[in-house]
Amino acid sequence: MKAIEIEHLGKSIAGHEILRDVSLDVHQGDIFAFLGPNGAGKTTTMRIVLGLLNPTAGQALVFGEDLSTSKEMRRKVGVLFERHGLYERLTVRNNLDHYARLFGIIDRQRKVEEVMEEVGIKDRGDDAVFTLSTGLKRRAGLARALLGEPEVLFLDEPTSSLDPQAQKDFRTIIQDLGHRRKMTVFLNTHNLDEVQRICSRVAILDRGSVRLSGTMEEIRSPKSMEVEVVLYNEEGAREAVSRLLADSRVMEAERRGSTVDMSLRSPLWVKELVGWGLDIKEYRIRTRSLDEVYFEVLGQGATA
Amino acid sequence: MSVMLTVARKELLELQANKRVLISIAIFAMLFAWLNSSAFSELQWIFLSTMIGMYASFSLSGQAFNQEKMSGTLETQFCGPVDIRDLWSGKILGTLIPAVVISYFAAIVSVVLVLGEGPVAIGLPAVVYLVAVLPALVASFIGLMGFVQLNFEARTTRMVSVGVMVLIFSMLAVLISLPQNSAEVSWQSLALIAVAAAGLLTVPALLVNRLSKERIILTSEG
Repeated sequence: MKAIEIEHLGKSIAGHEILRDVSLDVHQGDIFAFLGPNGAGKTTTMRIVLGLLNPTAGQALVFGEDLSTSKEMRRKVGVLFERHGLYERLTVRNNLDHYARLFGIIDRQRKVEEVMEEVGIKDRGDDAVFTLSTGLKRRAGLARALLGEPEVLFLDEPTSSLDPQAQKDFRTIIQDLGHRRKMTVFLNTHNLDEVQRICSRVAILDRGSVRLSGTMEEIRSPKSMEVEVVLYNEEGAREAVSRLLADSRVMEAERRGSTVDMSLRSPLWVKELVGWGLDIKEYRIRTRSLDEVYFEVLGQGATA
Repeated sequence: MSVMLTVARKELLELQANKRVLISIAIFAMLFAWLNSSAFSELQWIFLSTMIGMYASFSLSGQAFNQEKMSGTLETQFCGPVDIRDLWSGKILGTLIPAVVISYFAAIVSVVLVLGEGPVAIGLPAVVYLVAVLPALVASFIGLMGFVQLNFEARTTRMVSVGVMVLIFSMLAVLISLPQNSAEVSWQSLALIAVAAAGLLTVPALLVNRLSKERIILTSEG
């Protein structure tokens, strides 16, 4: 089931085109990463989905409804922007109580205690928000976003400006929420490590257009099969290159010392290489890291 | 209605947590009341109370509208099941209550200060003005300030806010002094001001329909 549908979305602000024909789907239960550099249009897309900005073309729906008009559907959505959305001078508990009242939550007190417990901030409940560290403020903001028991959670750069430990803690909470509550998470970020660790689907946005989208496995699998073969000596590697280049399945073969890198059109397995009399030490099929994919995609965008 | 009261409650809670603002406004009000206490004039008295109410609401509305807009809490609330009108009216109520209380406090202090110098005569029109018309004037002023702060960028907001304040004061001064030249408030001038206050109240109520989430968010980014 589709939790979020974005179809041919376009947005111009003051004559400046921010988004161009953005289309993507997020399925229920996905932890979805919307990747892209600063200024790519991630926050604008999120704001349109949340009904805060009006698109100049296309539409964005959450469970089939437009959030700009459906007040009821807005109850099923939790949001944490880069700015935590809390009142600095009020205590965490007072902040959460205020939002719980706004959402019309029944059994307010119990719910407030529950979300504070969930994100590990209960012991700081009576402290004013301005006394908390950035990491704890972000947690308090997450507690606020969870108050209405959302089915979809929108997070905009949730770990930016957090120290590595706070980033790790926050990631664990998000991952846990996604699995335990079966919540759909829409994560705007440019933290590739974070995406690699917790997300199931990814889309890369660059200068207002989606350049690539798919599951993590799909986008990391190379266009051709990339294999690295390590032989026992350079002589063996030279012989391997000449044998490989003569095979129609091999697109490219390059030697680095006793290692041979090759791109294959179709599989060429280690037993065949051994059958050719090559003395194989190691055989590795390479997958691309998200970093490689990301920079490759952005590089293409820059030269397009 | 419940959203409006929730927002108003939050405004009062924030004010309670930030007593410095409240104390500085109160000190200014007392100082002003003391400076104007040499000879009691009913006209001067209600003008002073109104001015203090306006000044207090001017300071407090900055926290209620502009600060929330710039800090992003408004954007967060727009993502929930809340309308702009509910938020806006809650903020007016939450700002109106302390502004009127400060204004009454200053009015009482200025009377107490001149009590020793002889009897102080306050007519019924002046009392009616303080109880009914002054809150309406202050509410319309907060509503206008709220609209300006939400609808414009920071620089425009500063200019338009001062303009609105000057306009309301000038209008008030003219209306009070129009029907007669005495130092007391007449029923006639009270009626004129009440009509003007009612008219002013409808302006922000109509203007709020022109506010959009998009406009508020985009003008918060400078």
